[in-house]
Amino acid sequence: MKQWVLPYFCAALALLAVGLPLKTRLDAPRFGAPAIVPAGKAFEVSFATSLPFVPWRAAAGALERQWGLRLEQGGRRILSHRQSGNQHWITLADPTPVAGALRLPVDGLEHWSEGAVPDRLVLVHVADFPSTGREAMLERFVDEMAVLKPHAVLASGDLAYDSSAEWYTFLVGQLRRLEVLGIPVIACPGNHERGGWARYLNTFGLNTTHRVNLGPFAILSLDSAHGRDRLTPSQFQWFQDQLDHLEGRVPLIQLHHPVFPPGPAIHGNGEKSGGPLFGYRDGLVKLCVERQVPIVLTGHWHQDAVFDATGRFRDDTADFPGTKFVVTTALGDALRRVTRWPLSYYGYRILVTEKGRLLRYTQDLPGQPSPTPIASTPSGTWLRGGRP
Amino acid sequence: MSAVWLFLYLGCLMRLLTLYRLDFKRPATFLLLLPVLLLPLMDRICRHQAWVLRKGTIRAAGLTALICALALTRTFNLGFADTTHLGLAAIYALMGLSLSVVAQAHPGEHTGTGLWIWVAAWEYAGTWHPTLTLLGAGLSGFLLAFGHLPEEEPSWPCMHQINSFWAAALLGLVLPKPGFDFQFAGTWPGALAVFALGVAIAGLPRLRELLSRVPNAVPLLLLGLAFVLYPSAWVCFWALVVGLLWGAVLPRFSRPLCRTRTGLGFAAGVVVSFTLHSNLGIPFIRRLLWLGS
Repeated sequence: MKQWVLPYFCAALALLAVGLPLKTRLDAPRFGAPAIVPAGKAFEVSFATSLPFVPWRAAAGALERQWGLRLEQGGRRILSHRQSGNQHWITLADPTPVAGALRLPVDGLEHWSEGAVPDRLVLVHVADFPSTGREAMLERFVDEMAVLKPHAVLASGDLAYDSSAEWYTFLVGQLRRLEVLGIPVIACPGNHERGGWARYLNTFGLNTTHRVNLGPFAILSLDSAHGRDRLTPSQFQWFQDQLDHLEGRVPLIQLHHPVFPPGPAIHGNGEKSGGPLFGYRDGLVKLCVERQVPIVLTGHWHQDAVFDATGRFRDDTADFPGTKFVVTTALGDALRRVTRWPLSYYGYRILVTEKGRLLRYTQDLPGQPSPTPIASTPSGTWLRGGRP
Repeated sequence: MSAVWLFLYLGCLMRLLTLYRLDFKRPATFLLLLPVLLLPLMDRICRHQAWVLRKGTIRAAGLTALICALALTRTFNLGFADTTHLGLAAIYALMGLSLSVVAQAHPGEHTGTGLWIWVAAWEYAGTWHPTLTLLGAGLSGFLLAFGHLPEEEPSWPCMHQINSFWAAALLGLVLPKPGFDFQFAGTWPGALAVFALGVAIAGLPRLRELLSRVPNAVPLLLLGLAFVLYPSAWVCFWALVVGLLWGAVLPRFSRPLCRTRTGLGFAAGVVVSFTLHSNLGIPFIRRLLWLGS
């Protein structure tokens, strides 16, 4: 046994050598996965330190110094803390009353205080962002959101076809513009983020599967895009746990890959898009039906599509019972024709809800029945003065 | 040294590559894989270039491995690895090659409980951040090169013999399964730590005696079964069983252990496992691979 004293002593020295000076990594809340909580309600800040077993006060101090934030600020107080190895969780609460629906983060911590959220909530869903050379499309989208003023934007992956630092700087800049407008962004990764995975994780944090509560909703973002089993056992388990602990909220789901394949609705070879969810599709659909999930939002096909829980392509009506499995067209990347749905344009999807009930998720289009099935909102509609 | 090379270095490299994606259009990928690609040539290189295995060279290699590990871990601790960065890939490659030289100079295989606990400790450190496992590999290489990593030779004869390539390939097929959960703070480091503890437990005298009487087919078949049957909620138990099975298989290899054969077998197993998990569009494979989850 004595012969192992030196190796373990060297191990401790080596760990100190790579861990000092103490650094931290903020894991939650992060940009793209903010904490939105009513005034006075507790929320958790989780972070890791470069050395394990650091006393939590010292760890919290390092976090504040490195990230330029104050955990206790104004009325916000630390309620409790817990620690495991180098991971810390600090529970905070801010009782300061909020004027309006949401109060923007003010101190570098992605914490939005929720005030009186109106019964009628408008959410916007986007996927498959424009890339380098089409920056203006993203800028116009943000301009359009300034007119529409949704309560949140849900971004379901393929935000960065270009994984360069320049693109990420531009992307974050535009998404921050949304935040300044009072619109939180809730993001999950797509398959193209895998090309520069380190940069995505640095920007949006390592929790690629996360939950954000907003008004009556629990928005569950899943990571389907690692190119292997899409949903993996641990992720599916997390999803199941979240549905078991909704605390009376209505779950909204977003992930990058469409849940169902185009099936008989395929157009030609579907432009080789295919790309539905492979692993755990049946389990996911079953849970969505059982827990009465109103809508599952996806992207990836660069064309609109809607399916019901049996996998049937619903181009007959927008209004059918049960969970809507929705695919939203591209915001800016190349358009495709995957299904027999004849329309293809750049756009985003507006969800209108009232008291947690989904009222509307399609856009009426000229020359089409009202409500138009499947259709998302063409880009620029609100800049031209249109209404959903 | 094989255990350290396989589970601390190669295991960590495989995890890194599956997590951050391998792009064969970039030279950095080939640099990262260089120590594995050169593995079949290491014997020949060392035979023809005697200076490689001189004491001074080995010590220099051990020191290089440690310095590279420190540099990588300081860079990546709490961060995320950019597998396309040429400079960092070069440091990875240099570390892997240095460890290869040290391992080549120490063909004796460790079987001691102490070593497996050491491996388990570093795998556990990987739960704080995956890169810390690499630090364990670098430090082990350094300590071994300077004669400070305790070694124990197997002290019992084993009746049954197993081909180390195929057994390692089977392990490579099975062991990364928790890694295919694809969460950054995933279950792989914790599972590997429990796996190493399982091997340590299998090395305890009474259990070792008992396990040595089991015919070859039993642990190999059970290992194969662990590939199909993976209960994600019971991952620690699963890893412990895999560790015990590997602990039963390990003494059946011919000595000195051929690192080339086991290393390539393990890497081949990981590649096949990765490929199978990447082609889950085929319903039969999908159901088979995640049976029990």
